[in-house]
Amino acid sequence: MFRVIPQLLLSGGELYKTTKFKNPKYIGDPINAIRIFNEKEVDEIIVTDISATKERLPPNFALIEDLAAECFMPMTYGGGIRSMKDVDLLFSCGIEKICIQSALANDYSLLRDISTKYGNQSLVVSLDFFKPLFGKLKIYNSAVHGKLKGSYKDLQFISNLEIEGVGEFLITSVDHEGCRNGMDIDLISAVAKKSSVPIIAAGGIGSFEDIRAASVAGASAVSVGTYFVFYGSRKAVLINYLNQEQIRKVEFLDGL
Amino acid sequence: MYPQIVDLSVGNINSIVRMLRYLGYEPMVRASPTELDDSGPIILPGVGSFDYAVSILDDRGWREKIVTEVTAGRPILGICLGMQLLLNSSDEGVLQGLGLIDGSVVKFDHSKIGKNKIPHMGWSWISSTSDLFPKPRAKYYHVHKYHAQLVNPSDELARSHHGYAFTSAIQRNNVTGVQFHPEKSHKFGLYFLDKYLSGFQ
Repeated sequence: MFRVIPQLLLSGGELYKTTKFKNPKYIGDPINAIRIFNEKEVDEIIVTDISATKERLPPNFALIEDLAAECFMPMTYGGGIRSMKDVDLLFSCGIEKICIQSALANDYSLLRDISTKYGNQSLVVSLDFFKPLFGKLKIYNSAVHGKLKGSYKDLQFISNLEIEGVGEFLITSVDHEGCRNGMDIDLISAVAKKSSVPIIAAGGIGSFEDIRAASVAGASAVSVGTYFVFYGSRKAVLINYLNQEQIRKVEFLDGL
Repeated sequence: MYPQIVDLSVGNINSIVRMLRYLGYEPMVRASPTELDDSGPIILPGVGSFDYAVSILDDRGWREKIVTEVTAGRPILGICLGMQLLLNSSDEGVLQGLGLIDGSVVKFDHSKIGKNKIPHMGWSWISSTSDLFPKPRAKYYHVHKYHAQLVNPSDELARSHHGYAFTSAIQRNNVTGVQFHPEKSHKFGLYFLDKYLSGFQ
């Protein structure tokens, strides 16, 4: 079944939202958000620490353990993962899958170690794509603030990563992130065609139609951030999920 | 009644321990067959490679212990790879399973899965007449590349769907297995585990 996965962005132990990966805006307490999603029986949860990599900090293991303890669905964690020791600790905290991005800037050996020890299904690789003003779509790597090897037009690196044992790809369009204006469908199609493992598409969801479009384009799941955060009339933040009607519609997305 | 969780060191047993505790049970984690006591059913979780898990079953003496106990009537519940280990063999490896239910484990048929990807990762509604699962319908979280193929259709407990329908839960007398992860399937998982274990109080 197609999956709709809320993604929570952590920074300094608190929940934030960003727009095109910039202008972080405080939302609230992550434990409360996880509790709400658990009550709403969401498909899965992704938690990404956006400050850990940037500030060269390790993952906040104590917080991650508390978050994992709140939910009985799969939780994926990413951010600041640098070594096998980090990975071992994360799994013992109760995380189902780990998400690697910046560690790839150097080499792929960590991927191979993780997939061998914990299985492919435990390993998600996160790739962020952006379109510079001039030139072709590029891959953005948060640790080095620049290009990873390869570009959107030549997706050979997708196959190379699969060989290392990647279980899923999380593909984010930076340009669309936080804007709720629609996803980069060309990007999703291109990666979904190239990859033999499931793709989680992220960046730009603003309506159920965007979710449907991602499914038609070949994604197996979407990761949703801003669309599930609602700013009420008195600037209060409300965490949301799909309504019952939308949940029913998701079931029909398979086989499109 | 204390559920006995076999710890093969393949995969994380934290989630299942947590869910069982939430339900009010006190699971006992057993790394070696000599630690096993008869205070509850055997639960065999597992994630990863078939042959690797079988070699651990053999190296630590679990195979003999499990087969002896189960043949004498002790209930056993296999989860994910743990369910696959209950069968005879798997396409994924060359070693023999426990053979407690007749059948094998096969790769997903690429010609039948359509645009679905492998591994099958995500929720699927199951179809089952068993009262181990909530009515009117239940869904569970699946993560697998292979699925069971039974010799006797009457051993099928539930089916799931990923491009095509396949056996996702099995049961023969005191032997039960689920391909999906109840411990990752919130209220549906809680219901199943509670129903399964409450039969042994």
